Amino acid sequence: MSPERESHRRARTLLEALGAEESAWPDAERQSILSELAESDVLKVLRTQEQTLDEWLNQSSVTASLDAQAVALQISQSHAQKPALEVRLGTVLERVADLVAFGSWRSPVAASVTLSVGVALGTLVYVPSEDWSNAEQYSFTVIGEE
Amino acid sequence: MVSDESALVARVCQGDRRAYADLVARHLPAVEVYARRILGDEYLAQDVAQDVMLVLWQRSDRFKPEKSRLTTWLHRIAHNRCIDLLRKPGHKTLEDAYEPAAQPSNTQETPGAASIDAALCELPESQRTALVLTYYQNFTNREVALIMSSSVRAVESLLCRARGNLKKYLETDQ
Repeated sequence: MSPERESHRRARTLLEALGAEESAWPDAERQSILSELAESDVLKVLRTQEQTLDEWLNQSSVTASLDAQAVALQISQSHAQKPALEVRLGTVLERVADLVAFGSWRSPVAASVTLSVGVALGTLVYVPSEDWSNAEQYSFTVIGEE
Repeated sequence: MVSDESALVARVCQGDRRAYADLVARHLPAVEVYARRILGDEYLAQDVAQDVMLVLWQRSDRFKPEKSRLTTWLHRIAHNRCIDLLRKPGHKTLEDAYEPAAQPSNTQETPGAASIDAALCELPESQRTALVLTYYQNFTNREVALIMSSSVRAVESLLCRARGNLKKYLETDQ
């Protein structure tokens, strides 16, 4: 498709999708649509039709009825906030860090944590094995059964 | 405005009720009107709007200002709530909703406010959503695509079909 045809087709699509009002068109494409409109009678007729539809759409009378202040008050007073898991986890870790940093029992906790980590690492790393390569060999014979 | 709202949301995360009330005053009316146009029911729309504001209070830390405007995030939640309600048994099913726009009812004698609202309710749900978000809620096509989890091209296509159906309705109505 030639660039002119493509530009015309695009202007038509945007008119049909967004209506006749210039402010509804994308900023980047407004000038192109206006240029196409200036040269095309078909697009001018289309714009008039879209304008009629816009006027009809503007007659919609749906309005809000809730009292925003009352809703905000009711929700914020009767519901607790639920922060995300990572936020809650962060808060818990901060409290633990504070306790470890400033508590009077910091040393025992540090020692037990170190010991626990050591035991855990030892359990993971050490693999018990039996080496019988240098052991003496014995054989047993039951005497007197013949 | 956007950074202002980001600051307000940050205060809401800290439990600031005044910041929350400010945001509710700014966004509740738009969300309620949107839900009412999508659901066609005043009381269900009020439930959805309050539900969205509850999410704003309880889960505002999930809002990412670098990704979207607050109003886009709130409308996305409202959109999902509306879809859930439309899919509930007993409510208008999606199969019904995807039927072509119906002919005008006999009770609508002249085009007007009631007529256009009735015509909107008879559009398929996805066309109605795209049109309402673009025309009445003033979102860009890109934002509508984000709210509807769709592409910009798909949104443009929905808008063309929605307006085309409404034009047919208007012509028949007059």
